[in-house]
Amino acid sequence: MLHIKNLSLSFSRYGGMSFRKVPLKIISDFNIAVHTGEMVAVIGSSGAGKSLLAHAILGILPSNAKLTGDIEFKGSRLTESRKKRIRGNEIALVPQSVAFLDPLESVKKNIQRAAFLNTGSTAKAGIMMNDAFDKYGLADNVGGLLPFQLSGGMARRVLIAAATVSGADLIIADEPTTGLDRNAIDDSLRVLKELTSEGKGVLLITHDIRAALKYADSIAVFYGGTTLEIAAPEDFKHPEKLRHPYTKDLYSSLPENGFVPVAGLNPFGDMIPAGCVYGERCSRKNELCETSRPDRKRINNGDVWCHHA
Amino acid sequence: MNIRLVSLPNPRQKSAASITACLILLCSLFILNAMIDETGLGTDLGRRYLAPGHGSILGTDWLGRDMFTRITKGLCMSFHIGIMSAIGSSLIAVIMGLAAAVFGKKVDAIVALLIDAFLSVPHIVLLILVSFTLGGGFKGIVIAVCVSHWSRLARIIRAEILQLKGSDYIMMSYRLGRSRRWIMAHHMLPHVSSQFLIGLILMFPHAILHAAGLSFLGFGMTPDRPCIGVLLSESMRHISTGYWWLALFPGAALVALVKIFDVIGENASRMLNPRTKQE
Amino acid sequence: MLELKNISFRYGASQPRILDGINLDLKEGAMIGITGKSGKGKTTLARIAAGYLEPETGSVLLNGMPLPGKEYCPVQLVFQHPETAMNPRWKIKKVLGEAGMGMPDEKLLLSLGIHPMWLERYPHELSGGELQRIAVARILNPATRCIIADEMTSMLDPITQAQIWDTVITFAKNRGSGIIAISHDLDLLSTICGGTPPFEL
Repeated sequence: MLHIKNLSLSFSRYGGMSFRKVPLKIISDFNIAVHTGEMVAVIGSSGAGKSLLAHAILGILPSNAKLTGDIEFKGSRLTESRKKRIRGNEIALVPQSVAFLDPLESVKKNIQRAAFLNTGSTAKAGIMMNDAFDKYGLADNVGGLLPFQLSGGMARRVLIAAATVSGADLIIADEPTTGLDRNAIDDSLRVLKELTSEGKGVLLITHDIRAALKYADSIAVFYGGTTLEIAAPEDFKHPEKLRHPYTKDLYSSLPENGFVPVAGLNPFGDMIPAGCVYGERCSRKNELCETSRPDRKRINNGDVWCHHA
Repeated sequence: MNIRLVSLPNPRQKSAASITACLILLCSLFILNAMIDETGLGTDLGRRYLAPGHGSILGTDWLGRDMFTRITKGLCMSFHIGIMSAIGSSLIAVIMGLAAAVFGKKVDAIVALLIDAFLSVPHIVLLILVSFTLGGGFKGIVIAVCVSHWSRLARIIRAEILQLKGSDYIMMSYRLGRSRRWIMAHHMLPHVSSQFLIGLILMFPHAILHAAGLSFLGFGMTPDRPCIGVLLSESMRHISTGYWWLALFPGAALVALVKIFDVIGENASRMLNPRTKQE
Repeated sequence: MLELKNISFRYGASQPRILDGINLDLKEGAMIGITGKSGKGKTTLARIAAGYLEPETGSVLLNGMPLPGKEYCPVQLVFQHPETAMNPRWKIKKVLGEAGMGMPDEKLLLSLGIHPMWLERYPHELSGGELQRIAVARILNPATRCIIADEMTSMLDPITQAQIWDTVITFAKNRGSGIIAISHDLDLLSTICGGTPPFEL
């Protein structure tokens, strides 16, 4: 359904007090595919890149952003004007916070409006909204609250409800599990997973690896603004199967797998190296890694961008 | 080969260019003022009511006084009034706003009351009262404008600092051992500095117009050391007599001066406001 | 060392009590975990323990004495969102030195992965992970006896999380300081607290 090839995103900003604009690279050569009925998770380094990916697909980047690369949705190119048309009805976003809802309208009105934009009839919108409330276990009184009055878990469910009543075929969930406890995380993700069984596609952007492994069908590993590996969740059960050194390091850094730190920093903007983005921290770095970016290689039904694979 | 020698200016460069242009205009005004001596201000009954071009650039008035000299000197006078009033009222605003937010509930209640009280009195009434009581003139106008205008900016600053007080990094500063005075100096004052600067710049045109208005009504400057308002006031008597240059040029000069400050203020605001900084 | 005695708190007289009679005792060099469902008062408790909020009943005692009001507080809190814990108009250099005890030493900065280049930058130019390293560096000085980490790494990727905790735990072990770790991540708490089950709110 969604195919992204070599996506690059940079911002032009003024450096400090200067009068010249310099480009700040955030994403480079990003690749991912989300098929119908599939949940794909993007995991990896926290920081600017991942959320901006969602904004790039929806066409809601700030004016000083420059986007290159191919985005294909349902077989045809996703141009800026098409993004504007299908935003909210074919592709929907489950944003990070309730700040994206209209703060002056009650929850009920917010969701009803999203449903109305989808169905075009107030009556149908009302029915869809009630269905959504039932489905996501939202009590009636929640409808009367204003967005800022919602607690963490409830807010999550309202945001997911708003995205689903829009009837979108692709749902992008941007860090949907922040601030939630284990049970709430499971609830939210289970709901998103159910959407895939209805034939929708879900792009899950998260730094919660465990949640991603539990629910996603495919995992894209994101670091330094680019994709380093695309693997299946099962591969993570046997770390030898992981293809990229970064993915392996990611695995061992989890508390239950050894809590092993790796020295160095996630590169950002002008600190992104010219060669392999993980080069400076990688235990297997050589001269080739310093100078050139690896190409995509297909290994064991997964993809990896590494000179050593 | 198509070589682009000059790249198109971006918004930040445009803003900077506008501000520079305005500053150059202001400087030229001062230089002009310094070059012209005061002989033109004196009466010369042999040269009454000269239209522009006949021996004097902008004409003369009913006492033979050269309009160009009067306008130039008048603009500078207006500028001085503007700057003193703007600085004065902005300083009062910062002190009151800061005091309200930092020195506890009682002080805050008193200041809030004062702000509301001063805000609720129409400007003109307060201006006339204060200026009249102090006997008009430069001192009278400046103090009148300060007294009537501090409350607007004070309210903004008080609100900003009250909001700041509850933020995590201020509380953390206390926990890290910093004193209230240190926090005021290093956190709070810098926070309101851009508001202060923009409030100050935008106060100029406001103050200048009020000074002109007061003088127009007769409560401000006197005819021997005029500001633009006096010139406009005097010209009112001659509007229907066809001596158009007596009102047009002072009016246009006033509008130009006010507009210059407006442009500076808007562009400075655009460059400092974090939301529009990166456009 | 740090005792929370009978702490209760509510946000406003008409609200129900969010914390009711909580007791906690952190010994020197010990590491305790706190967990609980969202909204159960974990952050509130953290703020009370570090002196940001006054409890409705009960007291917070450090070695038998109440927390200092005016000097550097030996109990320091690390927030979940580091951007809110520093002045956005200050250079990082100034932020690091805010405690008034000079800059943290070079070895510490290195172990937290703080680049010397960042010292001249502003908070909005750095990412969440980088800012959290700075927030941590700011309080890892000899006067800190107890660190309260309120979801300190829940916004960060696992490698950054492991890095920061490595430095914090090493610091605490070297000085006999205590750590209260608040998190939803039970695996994390179990690893930090050596298997001791966390205190549940």
